[in-house]
Amino acid sequence: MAAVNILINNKTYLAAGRSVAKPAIVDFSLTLNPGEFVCLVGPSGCGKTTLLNIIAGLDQDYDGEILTAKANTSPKIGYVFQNPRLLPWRTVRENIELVLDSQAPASMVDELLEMMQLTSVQHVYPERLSLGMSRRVAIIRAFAVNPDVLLMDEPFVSLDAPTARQVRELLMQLWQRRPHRVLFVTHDLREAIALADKLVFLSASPMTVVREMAVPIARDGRTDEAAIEAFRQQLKSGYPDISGLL
Amino acid sequence: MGPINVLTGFQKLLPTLSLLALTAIWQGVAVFVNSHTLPTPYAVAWVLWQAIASGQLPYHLGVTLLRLVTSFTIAMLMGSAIGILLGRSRKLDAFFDNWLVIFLNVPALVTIILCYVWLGLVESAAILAVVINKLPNVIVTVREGTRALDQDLLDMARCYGFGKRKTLLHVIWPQLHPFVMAATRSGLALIWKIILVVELLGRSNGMGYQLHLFFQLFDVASILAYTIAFVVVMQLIELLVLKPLDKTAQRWRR
Repeated sequence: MAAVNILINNKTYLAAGRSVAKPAIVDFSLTLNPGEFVCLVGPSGCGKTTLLNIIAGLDQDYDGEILTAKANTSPKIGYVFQNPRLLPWRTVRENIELVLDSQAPASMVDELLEMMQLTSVQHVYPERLSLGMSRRVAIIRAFAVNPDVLLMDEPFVSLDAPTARQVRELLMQLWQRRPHRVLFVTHDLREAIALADKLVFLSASPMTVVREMAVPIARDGRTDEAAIEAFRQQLKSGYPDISGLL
Repeated sequence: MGPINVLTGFQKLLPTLSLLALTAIWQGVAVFVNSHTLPTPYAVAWVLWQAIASGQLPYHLGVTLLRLVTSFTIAMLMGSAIGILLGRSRKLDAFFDNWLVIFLNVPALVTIILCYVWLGLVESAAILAVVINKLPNVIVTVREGTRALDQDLLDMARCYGFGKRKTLLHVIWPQLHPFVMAATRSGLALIWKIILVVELLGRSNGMGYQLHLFFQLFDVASILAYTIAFVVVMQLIELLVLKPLDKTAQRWRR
């Protein structure tokens, strides 16, 4: 297991009705080590989703490369989109099984459902689920493929606070059992501190990395709201280059 | 509770009552006119029974149904494939759109005549004529459905490496299903009307051929008997095939 390197020299986009392409991402480089949970923090609209789509291979129109241990192979991706994007005409379980090879053991799906507390709704169609539950299904689906990189695009947005906390805790338990490389996009600094090994602060458009920083709080101390708040204040007051972005 | 139950019981009877009323009106007019060009329901029922017992009606109905199933299947398969292609590719659509408009507006009768002239009075010409009449319809409907496909779900399928077969089966097809069902319903109604003309003009069996024969003999009772048989069969297809298909495909909806 080696690192995945993401290099994007230049990504432009053509706004509707314009003839000149505007830069969206410039000189972006990021290393994802095995088992590392990285949070991307930046102002909304700075191009985070564009970045994730490039890494996921959905957007091929850019100058740069995604390097994995095996040359010339793109990394296997698990993607938790902002909306769960479940197939409404397939049950929860079918939605998960669809992303798997036919050889994948059924016990793995059972185990994942159990961990995310969804066993009782596995044969239900997604339209009957709450948003929090749908998000959990989407998280299971992303973990189930054993990804080289797990992309998460603000997966807790528009959940109420208690639900968001519950899903976040379930995610952490799952990730500690199956520590894939995670690239997690958020604009909520508290959430980022609670989850990440490493914070990556991004500038407004055109997007680039402003600063990378390890989170100095131990994993078992992340439920301590005071410690998280203290680190947040320290970031805000101690680093003028990023305080403007938060 | 009482009056409501009586009312719903009455409502359940309404379809039967309306059929009886229609028959009664028919009977009244037939008795009043008293002409062999409008036989009574009883006379038609008798002819219907005899046509069934002699095997004549089942044979010709079977021939027509076989043509219907063949041409319908070909038109739906080809139409769906072309419709998906045109819905996915803007260039292809821009090129073939005019063709579609032309074929949509060619009268059914013209296609039928041309097919017979060019291919001769053969079975394949008859089938081809029906397919050409139905095809543009299916293409247009499926194309609309394809344009309305959810790009988010397609992206999801791509990033999870679904591949062509899985994407078609689990992502695209369920979204197209309502459009294909619409094309199926309108298609069956259209095709069976066209088929009768095709048979009338160039085949020596089938419902259309028989009706033509009865017309020459001014045998209205037989015409009505065959019509009733056909309407019943079409309704059975709706009830026994299309409705259950709809139900299974829509089971995920709230």
